[in-house]
Amino acid sequence: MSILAFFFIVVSLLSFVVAQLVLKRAMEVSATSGLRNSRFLSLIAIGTALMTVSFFLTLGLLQRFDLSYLYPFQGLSVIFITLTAAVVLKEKLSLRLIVGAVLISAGIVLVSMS
Amino acid sequence: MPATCLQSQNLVGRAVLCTPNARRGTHGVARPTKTRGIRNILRQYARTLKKRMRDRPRGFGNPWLQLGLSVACVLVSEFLLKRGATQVAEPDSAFSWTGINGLASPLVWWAILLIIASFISWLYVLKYIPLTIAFPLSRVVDILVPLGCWIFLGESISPLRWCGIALVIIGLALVAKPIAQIEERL
Repeated sequence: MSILAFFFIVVSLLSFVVAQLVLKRAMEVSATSGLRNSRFLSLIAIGTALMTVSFFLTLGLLQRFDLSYLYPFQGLSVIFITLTAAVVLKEKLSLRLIVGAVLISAGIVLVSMS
Repeated sequence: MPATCLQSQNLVGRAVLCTPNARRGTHGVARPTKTRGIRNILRQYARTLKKRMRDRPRGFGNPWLQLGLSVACVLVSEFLLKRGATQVAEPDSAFSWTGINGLASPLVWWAILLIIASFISWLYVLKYIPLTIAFPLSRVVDILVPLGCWIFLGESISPLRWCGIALVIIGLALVAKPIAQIEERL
């Protein structure tokens, strides 16, 4: 796999995960201060834009690679979320999470070699 | 990732969107510490869900049926996207990395409709089933997608790739529940 392809795969995943977090934040804002405020609207706009970016990058990748090749990479999004939780929520990572993340990474390495 | 984002869009993504945290504002409980407050909210939320689940709608409104529908929509949309993207593929042009040329294929539009449908039924599912149960169950797609690639798309999957896919699935099975718990808090 070329470095370029890997770059796009990671960017598409990252924009996806960040979009989720932003949208989630937007919903929290809406719960406290309603739907008609600029903060909520701008968060929704950012989230949707990031979502769109990740969708189109995916389409671009699908034109070049097998679905069975690209699909396992989505396990990376789970790892990104784990890391975010560890950093943002200062969570201690459980052994189960670490083992899972290691297995996912190993699987992705195998898939990218295939 | 490719199939990825779409997929996570439906699973991970939707999951984040609709966690009970969003309802924080509706519970005016004074809480001494942040964690204890969140725990209370989660407990209260679980009670609400249990009550709703007891008198859940039958037939088409059955949450389990909707969960299945949501998974099916994700699955089919993945295949449609792959098919659509292949139809319009221009691997030589740098512009096609952006994927925007994919919009030329009607299959891609059908896939977008299915993604929206799966999103709606997922939101419905979360009204009844806690994320820690619904999210791990929805990871069934991770098994169905590679199988479908092999059976329906006729992709030849090397033993090495099968091993990789298997490792990823085992890893996801391990983390699905803890991740759902994290997302409920995020």
